[in-house]
Amino acid sequence: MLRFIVRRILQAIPIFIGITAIVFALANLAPGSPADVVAAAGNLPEAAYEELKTALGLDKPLPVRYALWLGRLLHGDLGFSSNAHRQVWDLIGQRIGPSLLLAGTAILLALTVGVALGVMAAYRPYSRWDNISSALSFIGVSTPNFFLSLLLIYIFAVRLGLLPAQGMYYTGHKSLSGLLLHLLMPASVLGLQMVGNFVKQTRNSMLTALNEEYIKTARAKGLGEAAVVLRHALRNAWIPVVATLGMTVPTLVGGAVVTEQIFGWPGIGSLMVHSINTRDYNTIMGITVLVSLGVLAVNIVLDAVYSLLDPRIKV
Amino acid sequence: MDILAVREIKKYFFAGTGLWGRPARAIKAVDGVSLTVRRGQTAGLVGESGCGKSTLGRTILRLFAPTAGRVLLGGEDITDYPPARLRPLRRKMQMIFQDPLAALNPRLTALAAVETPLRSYGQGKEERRRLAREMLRVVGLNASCEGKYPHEMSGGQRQRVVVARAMVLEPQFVVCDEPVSALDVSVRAQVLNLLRDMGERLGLSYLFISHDLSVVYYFCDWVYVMYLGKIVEEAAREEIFAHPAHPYTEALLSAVLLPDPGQKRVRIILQGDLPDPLNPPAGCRFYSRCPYAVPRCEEEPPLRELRPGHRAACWLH
Amino acid sequence: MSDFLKKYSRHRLAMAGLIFLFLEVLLALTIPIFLPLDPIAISRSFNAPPDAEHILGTDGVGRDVLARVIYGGRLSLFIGVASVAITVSIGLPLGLIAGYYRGPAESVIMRAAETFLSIPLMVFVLVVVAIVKATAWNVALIIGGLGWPAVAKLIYASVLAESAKEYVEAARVLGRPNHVVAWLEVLPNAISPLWAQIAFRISQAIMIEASLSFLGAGIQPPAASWGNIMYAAQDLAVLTNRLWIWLPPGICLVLTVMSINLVGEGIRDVLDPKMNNN
Repeated sequence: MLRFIVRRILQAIPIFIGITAIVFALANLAPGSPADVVAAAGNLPEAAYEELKTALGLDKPLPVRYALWLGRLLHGDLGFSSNAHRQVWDLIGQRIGPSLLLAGTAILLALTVGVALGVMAAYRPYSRWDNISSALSFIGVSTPNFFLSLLLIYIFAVRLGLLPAQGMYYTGHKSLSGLLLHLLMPASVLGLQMVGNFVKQTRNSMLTALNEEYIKTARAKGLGEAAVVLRHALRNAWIPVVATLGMTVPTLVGGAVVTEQIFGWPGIGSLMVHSINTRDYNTIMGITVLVSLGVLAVNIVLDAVYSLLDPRIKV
Repeated sequence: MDILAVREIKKYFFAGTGLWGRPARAIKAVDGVSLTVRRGQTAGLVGESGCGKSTLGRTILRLFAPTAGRVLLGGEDITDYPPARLRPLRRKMQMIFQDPLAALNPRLTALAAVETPLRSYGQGKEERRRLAREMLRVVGLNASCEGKYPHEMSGGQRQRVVVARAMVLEPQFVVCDEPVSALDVSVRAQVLNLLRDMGERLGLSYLFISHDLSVVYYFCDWVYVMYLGKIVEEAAREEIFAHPAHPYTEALLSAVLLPDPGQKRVRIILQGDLPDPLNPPAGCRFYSRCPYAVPRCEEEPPLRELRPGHRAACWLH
Repeated sequence: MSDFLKKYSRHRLAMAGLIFLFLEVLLALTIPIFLPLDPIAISRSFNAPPDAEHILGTDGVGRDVLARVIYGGRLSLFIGVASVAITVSIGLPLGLIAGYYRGPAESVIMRAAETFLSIPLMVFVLVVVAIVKATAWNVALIIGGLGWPAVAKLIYASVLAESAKEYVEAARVLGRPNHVVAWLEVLPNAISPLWAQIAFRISQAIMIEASLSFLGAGIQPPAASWGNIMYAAQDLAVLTNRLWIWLPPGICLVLTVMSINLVGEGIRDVLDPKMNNN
């Protein structure tokens, strides 16, 4: 068990290096990067040119520059935002809470709905519930979330006036009910794109579980259907669903960028869009590297949880 | 002159990896085997499933790189040949597989399956086609089979395609890995006869791998008995069937009916399964299942000559 | 092949998707021949509701929305097809090499795939688009070039399973060169999961381009894209009062993506009956 987790972390090291190397390369290609500045200063006198290079750290070989950059990264130094005139790290720190709240709510929603529908679909395959759940999954993966967001805002905010369209709280007072109302639409949009995955996984693993001998035994003992399905089958069937959670995280992040922007949610996603539109490269790279390492970390944690839950896993 | 000589060949597989990527345990599938196949003759390799006989066949053909030992084909040491140098030699050494359905590419028709191997050896398209057609006739498949895919043919027909595919290259040496055990009993004799005919026609030498002694009796000139990665007995066919020396050979023989009603045998039933190849017993590998085991068997018996050409690894002799 | 078509045509929804796509491609290619539509020309009326002259009205600077939707459709289809062609031409060989040759190539390729998959595709594309100029070709190149790991992993798994079969060993015994075994014996038997995946990748690429352009980071006006037409709907006045601007491209986008996904599911059901009913 511990060996498995240790090995999983060791395997992640090359991926960590890969991610940081990609972002480092992108940062060096970006306009306004030190390399770019030097290239633009090509007509400077020789001495001044060399001085500029040294000042920007470009006199050192590439691996050294990468190592220095990585060292700063590990100390939480993501550079200075050209836009907000603040440390990128502070900028992101401010936004991380709302993003986690939104993403967490979306996952919770999607898991609840997805697992419930998956269980019903597996219990009675090809029934009405099965059809509803596959239709919902299909709509979830086939509707771009920005268009769905526009439709929801148009219907529930503009036409019906039921829900707020922008931000996290009503202006003036911070209340929990206000927060929940603001969460409802963006979390539903983000949740819907993940629901299909959870339905599919739950349905598959429930179908397998319901055919197992121990289910027949439980039925033969005269246990009620609800107990058989929920207590015996689902207890084993939900484990693979946890494993697929990791696969949905990158999609969730991508969706969050668009959704946060539309709903004016003060998270990392809308910061990303703002930074791109204002060409704030330090912030863009900072967000990218943090989000990617976050995805990697989530996957390691989920693998570890999975290996704890399912004693058969020994990779 | 021997067409094939194998010297002290070993093939280990490494199972699992430790924390730092080093192999944790070795499975000694083939553990120091020497055998020879004489030109124009058939050597049988007998043993239970899991004893390493298929691995040995594949290592000889260099489908696996041997862990140690040498393989000589027609006197030429091919053990260390890189794939590119091995390829022209593949013509000379071919293989008949156990399950013809698995051994045929599902997307190739019978004719295409026989024709494609020729592509690697530089005949023109017309010539290839002609040779392939001819060979299909030789193995007893008529024109109506040419366009059929593996799943459209019977087991016997498929195995004939596999035979034709190997024989069209005009090999000198062929490994037959349980060539009839996946077939219906009714077509086994036909396929065996086909192999024997082809052998005579092309002057072939076979290494015939089987767990079925009656098939080996029918087909082979010389017999090797393999147990847990080692040869435990070898002799000419008549000799080994008449005077088995190793208790394991005896047990195998007692389980088959041979066309020799005069001879009465007591059925010897082996106790237990093959030991775990990860931890083979020390000393004689057959010790744990041997009905005649004595304390000395805790020491490993060497393969010793009992009579000219008859060798066995057992302390009883 | 005819067997495939027969089985496919039994899936009514998949057939509907195919027919819709066929009509869409036909319309996107032919309408500009018959109707004098210009997606860039600016008329005198802006923000005008639909009328006889502009069937879908005009946008905020006076361009004909119908013309923009049709040219936006052309762009979406181009991005979808071009980017998937790029994805496949990178991902397929890498997956085949990793799955057939194994060894160090396998670990390098699969680690690289995991690395790329850790960077969310949408974020990755946004970052690269922020550095290079977002022309149609560049967007297709970026979406296609960054999407390879999914295809590589799919082919890898399929090739790995196929390589273990005995006919592959047989091909080697028969003296076929290694790369011939890989491309001509293994790949044709391992490729069938790719066809459905191609459809899903096309629809994903179309959605990513639309999202990108909707955020203002993708295709820049005056060039037309469904996403950048809908960019206007970020303004509450447009969202509330000028539905003709953002609803038609949105509906086209959803119907296109749905049709492609239906086709993909139809293909998957036919090729792999075990995998059906998602």
